[in-house]
Formats: sequence, structure tokens, C-alpha cells
Amino acid sequence: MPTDLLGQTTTATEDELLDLYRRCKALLGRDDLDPCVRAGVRAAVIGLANVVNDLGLDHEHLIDLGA
Amino acid sequence: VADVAPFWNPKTETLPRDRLQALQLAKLRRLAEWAAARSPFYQRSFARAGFAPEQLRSVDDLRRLPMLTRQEWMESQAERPPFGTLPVAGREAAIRVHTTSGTTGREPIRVLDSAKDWAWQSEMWCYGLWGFGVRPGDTAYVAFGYGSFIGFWGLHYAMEKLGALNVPGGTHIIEDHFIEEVVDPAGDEPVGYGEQGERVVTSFGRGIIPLLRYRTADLVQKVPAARCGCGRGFDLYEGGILGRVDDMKLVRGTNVYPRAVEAIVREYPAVEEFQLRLTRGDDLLDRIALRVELAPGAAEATWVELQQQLVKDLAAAHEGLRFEVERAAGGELPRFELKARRTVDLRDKPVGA
Repeated sequence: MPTDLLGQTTTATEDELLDLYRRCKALLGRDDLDPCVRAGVRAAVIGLANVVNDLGLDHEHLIDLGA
Repeated sequence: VADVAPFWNPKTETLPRDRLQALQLAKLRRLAEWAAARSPFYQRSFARAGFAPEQLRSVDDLRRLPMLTRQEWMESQAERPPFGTLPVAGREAAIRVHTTSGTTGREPIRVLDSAKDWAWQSEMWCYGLWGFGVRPGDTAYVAFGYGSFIGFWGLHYAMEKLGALNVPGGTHIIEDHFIEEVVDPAGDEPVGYGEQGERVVTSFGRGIIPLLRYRTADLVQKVPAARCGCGRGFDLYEGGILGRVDDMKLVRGTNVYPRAVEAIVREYPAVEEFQLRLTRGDDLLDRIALRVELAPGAAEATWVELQQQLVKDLAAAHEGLRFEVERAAGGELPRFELKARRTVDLRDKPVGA
């Protein structure tokens, strides 16, 4: 079972958020995105990074992804 | 449901203290590992202190980390201009640069923010704004020019994120994103709840410039979360930032913090503007005077009572120190925005000058 930074089992909503965050990060890591796509995906990753950080689901810096 | 919720982030704002500290420890470890892996400044500073991130087994182990002073930050900028050795990446990774307003005559601190770091700062404002009751659809006005002052830009973007227009604020410490220590300004020892001391901040959110135990020189007084009945488990700074440690004036053996004086004076709406003036007489005794301009429309008859009340309040807050409260003419005193420069210390001038 997935857990948060405190070792608590995550809720279905939290699992969905984490999944979205990881998929957006993977997308942002690709090198074939058009500028308008990269900017929009980067904004999505940053928004979700704040959410998973606030909820104690993940905590990381994103310099290597250009964010 | 979202708009009537009392908390911006109920999951962490209401955590019991032991769970909150466990969350802080998890974030602290990641921050220390990030700094140790990427920041030349921290690599050296950790090595000098014999510190390694794996030594962090409880939040109390934070004290194993060396503190960061403004002086060290300035020296690192001089060593590797313009941004120094703290950042983990160069300007190409940043979307914003700002400088601290600094202290007159000292080198400004230049700070880089990545897009995520910047969004995180707005997020921190959202915690405070939501706590103040700001909600989507509200309208407010920020009664200052933003200029390059970073705080108001963070506020501005937070209001946008909330879906409202604009307001000032700050209250509970956001302890799921920061560890805030309060220490003796003259040393490193922590002071207890209710005691004034220097604010030392560890910020989990900054990626480009990891901040571990930064001595801010802000004067604060921490009180326990239970002091407030709102349900948040985060401690508070009573009265916000009370002053600057380096602004403190010693007058006849008593510490005087200009911001604390301002907090007292601002309780009186009849005061339009004021100035704190320190002088040394021919007898070499220090004298502290509060010069006051009455607000337009304030009744002349209220002056004597106001004067007596200010003398009493200021003495009560300063171990009985006598302030001479004097009347200034309308428009006589200079006006300031943001950081107040309402204190004039003439004691280093030659006697009689």
C-alpha cells in the first residue's frame, strides 16, 4: 500500500494526485515538447508539486526538470 | 465545501505535535541531503561542523547543523559573485532574482528563485491569507507600492491563486514547511516560549538556495499553538516580527526595539506620524524622546491625555524607562513606507552637536 511521508496509507484522492504528479513529471522530462506544451506542463507540475508537498505525500526540488 | 473550510490545508495544520515533528524530520532530512549533494557552501560548512545528513534522527538533531549568518552569505557572494556558493544551480535555473532591502551600507543579499520556489512562496502566503478569512471572490487593496519588495509580490500572486484580489498579513508559523527556532541573540542557546529572541529559520521549500538554520536577525516571541483557539497545531509568533536584533538600542541599560515602540504608538489613532530621537547630554546621560504629530482632525484637547498615556505605556514596556513625549508640528516629521526609519540616534555625535 502506498504511504505518505509519515508512513500513513494514502487515500484514493491522494493516490490520484500522486499519479497525476508523476505522470506530469515524466511528461516534462521529455525532450520533444513544443515550447507552449512545455510551459503548460511545467505549470501543472509546479501546481501539483505544491499539493503533494502540502499533503506530506512527497517532498523534492525540481531544478533538474527546469522547475 | 472548499470555500467554507476553516483551514487551507487541514491535513497538516491540525496534526498533533509529535506527528508534525515527524513530518518536519522527513523534510529536513531531504533538505539536508539536497544541500549536501548540491550546494558548495553547505558541503564545506557541513564538513567543518562534522555533520552528515544521516545524523538527523529527530528534530532536535537540527542543532547539529551549523547556523548560517548574513555575514557568511555576503562573504560567499564575494567569493563567487554575484550569487555566491549557496545556490545549487546557476541563474539559468531561475525565473526570478530579487535582493533583500538590506541594511544601509551593507551588501544586499541576491536571491534566485526557480519557478517552483516562487510558486511555493505564494503557497505560503495562501496559508496565512486563508487563516485571516480571505476567500475566493473577496476584494482587497494592498496599500503600498510593490517596488522590488519581494513580500508584496508573493502576496499578490497568492491572492490570484486564492481567486481573490489583495490584502496584507501573517500569523501562525507554517510548521509543515519550516522549522523556526528562537535563540538568544547573543549566542546559540534556544529561548523558551514567551521569551523574545532571534528568529532562526530552516525552510524546506527553497530548492535553488537551501536554507538551513539561517539567523534572520528578526526579533520574535514564540507562543504555543494552544494560545490560539482556532484548531491549528502550529505555534505562533505573538505580535509578528517585533523588531530587528541589530536595530536594538541600549538606553540607560534598557533594550529598546524601535518596532516594539511603533507597535505601542500605533495603538493610538490620534498619532499621525512619530519619530524616536536618542541624544546624549552634556552630563553624558542618554535621553530618549518620542516626537509625535497629531492626526488631522484630532482634537487639540486630547494632546495632554495622549502624552501622559504614551509616557505610561512606553515605561511599562521598557522596565520603567522614561520616554519624553513631545509634540511635533503637522507635516514636520519625515514619512516612510515599508521599513521604518523613524529612529534617529544622535548619541555618537560630539556632545553639543
